[in-house]
Amino acid sequence: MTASPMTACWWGSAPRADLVPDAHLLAAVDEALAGSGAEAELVCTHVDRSAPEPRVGVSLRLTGEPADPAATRSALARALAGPVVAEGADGAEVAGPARTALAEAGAGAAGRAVRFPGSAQVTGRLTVADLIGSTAIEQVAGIGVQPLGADVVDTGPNGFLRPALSGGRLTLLVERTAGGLLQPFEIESPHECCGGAGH
Amino acid sequence: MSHDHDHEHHHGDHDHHHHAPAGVAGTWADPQAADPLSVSRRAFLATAAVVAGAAAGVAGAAGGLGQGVAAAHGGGGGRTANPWRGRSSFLAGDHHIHTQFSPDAQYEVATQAAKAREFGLDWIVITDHGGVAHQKLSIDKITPEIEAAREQQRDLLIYQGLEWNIPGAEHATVMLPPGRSTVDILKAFEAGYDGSVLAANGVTGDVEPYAVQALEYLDSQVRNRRTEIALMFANHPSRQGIDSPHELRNWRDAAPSVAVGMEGAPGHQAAGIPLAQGGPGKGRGYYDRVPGAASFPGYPPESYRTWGGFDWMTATVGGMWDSLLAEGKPWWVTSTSDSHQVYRDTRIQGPLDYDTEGTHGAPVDTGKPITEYGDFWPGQYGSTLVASRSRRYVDVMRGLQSGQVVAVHGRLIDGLDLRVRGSRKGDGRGATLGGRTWVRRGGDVEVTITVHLAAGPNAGGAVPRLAKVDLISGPVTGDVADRDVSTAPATTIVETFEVSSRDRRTATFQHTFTNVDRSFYVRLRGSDGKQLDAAGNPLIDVVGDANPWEDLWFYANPVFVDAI
Repeated sequence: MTASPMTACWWGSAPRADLVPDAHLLAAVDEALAGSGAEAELVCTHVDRSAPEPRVGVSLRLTGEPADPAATRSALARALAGPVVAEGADGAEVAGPARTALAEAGAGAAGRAVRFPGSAQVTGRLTVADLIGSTAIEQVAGIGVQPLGADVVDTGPNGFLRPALSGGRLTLLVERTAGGLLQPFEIESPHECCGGAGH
Repeated sequence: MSHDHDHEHHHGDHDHHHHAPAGVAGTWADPQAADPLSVSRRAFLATAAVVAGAAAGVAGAAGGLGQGVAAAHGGGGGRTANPWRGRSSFLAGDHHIHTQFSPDAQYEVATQAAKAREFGLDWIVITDHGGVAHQKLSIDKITPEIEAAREQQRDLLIYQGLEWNIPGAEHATVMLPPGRSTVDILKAFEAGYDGSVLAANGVTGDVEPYAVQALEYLDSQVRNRRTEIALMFANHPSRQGIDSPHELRNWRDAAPSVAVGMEGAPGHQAAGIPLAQGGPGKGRGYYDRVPGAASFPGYPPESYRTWGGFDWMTATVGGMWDSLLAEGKPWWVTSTSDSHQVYRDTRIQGPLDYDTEGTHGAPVDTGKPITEYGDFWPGQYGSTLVASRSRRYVDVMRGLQSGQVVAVHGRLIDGLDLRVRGSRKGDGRGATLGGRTWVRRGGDVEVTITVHLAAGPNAGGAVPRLAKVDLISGPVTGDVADRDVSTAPATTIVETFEVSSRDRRTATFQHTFTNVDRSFYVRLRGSDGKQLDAAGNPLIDVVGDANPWEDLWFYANPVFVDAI
């Protein structure tokens, strides 16, 4: 993916299950980093399959090293109710999902971006070219369609975008929708079966 | 939908027993079965058939009661299952229907039953969601309603079933014939093996083994003669990518006479009607999700969408379904409504608290059509045609179990006669849908297809016109080494038959495989030809822009051919 600033640092964590949903995750991360001197500019979720039951890990790319890294890591660990590991740290004691998240994000191999540079400014409809120009999204790929630069992507009123790291590039998957538009393959509110109670 | 010709041909062997109150009030539809000796003898025959099937390398499901006995021998050669008997009579049905006894649905049993009749169905299964409230409260409350509906709709078979939360996976239809122990079995099954109930009881972690045990439990109920038959179909298998290939195989292999198939097409087919056409503008089948943590990582993104209204597993030539069939084992596809809240219906959920009552109570009429609803009534769009020996509960289930089944959308066809036979050096009589026939190596296999074209309009108001039929075939390669394999690259479209505009009532096609040197299977699908890619395959359904009436398909279940 796009070369990150030399000062950027990567952390990985294994949040408690109830903190995995996007909104909870971002709230916990921001709360822990508040006043630390650094922000999480890229937040990705990862699936760790090293145990029989898949678990979710999270990777963070910070805008820089926090003033007190150890204290900030502790705050994040408390906020996510799980261990935090920093890039390059030994951390043999750290659980699988945090390690997996860090490894996948560092290699640009996998990871679903809940926040990424430019994501907060996007709303409504914009072209594929504008999406690539104004955000960290480097590539737009289609399911059942070949997206062109002038094609319009409808991101919805909240600008919902969940691109994924793949082959070293932050890639947004899109599909066709009504009116000749494209929409992100992952939408904000898919149909909830069984009122959301089933699964 | 209505199937006029079916009724016309059904009077001959129409079973009138189910009109007798004695056969219904006791919820044992077949009066003969009230005789313990009869039950016992039937069970013995069924067991024998399973054994015979297993010995032939055919999973037990291929040899249900009738088929197994008839399959005894094929004239000194191989074995035959579902021997061809001339034209089949189909009964149309739906194995996936919800009522006010589901947390997210609303209709009375009587309403769903009446609608099913209005749209020409002969059998339905009531499948409310499993869960704590359902297990504790709903089952007891719905039982008398189902019994009353049977009295009201004498021409409709109404099965009591369950939409089971498969531990670690998607939902599934579980269906039983009416019997003394039906309710007890359903309650015990749900208490012990429903994923939602297990989770409420604190059972977490790797719960896949519970699914296998659940199916073994149902199988044991058949073996212990508490029920004559029990069936399971995996519902909306690709919706969330959580029915992994090895789970499908584990279910099938744990209880091959119970776990017999999956929805080839999910319900909720109205969900894709565009907003611009006054529809919900959602994903067809409500297939609008993406892979999650629990999803099988080998399923590609496009598997999370329907293709021509059918689930990716079924719609992909050489895909997941074919990889199961290439093992030479039965696995059948169906089509259902998953009817919860019907497109443009005016009713909303009743006022009762589901969690404490186990029901919403009767729905409330708002007087205004609700266009956000994405479902059809039972039979309004999708239907599962079953060739059954009679209109008895157990016989329809035997038809389902033995794969004599065609999944149809929008009344694209009214019926299908398929005959596959060893025309040279083989089983000259041959087999039909879901069956098995044989040929000596070097011999020929002839496939004869007669499609009964729609004899009238569908519920969308048009008389559908079948444009083409694909004959699909692949080699049978036996058990897989990797149980998570999801492709069968050698399965291809062998021939595409175009339906002539001169064909009125029927269209007949033929194909011959010559010098057959290996075991294989054949299956059929057909389309109205309106939405095809260059290779004749269905298109991915566009979320928010998929009018189901403008894209009709049918899929027929396979016939296996043993080269000996």
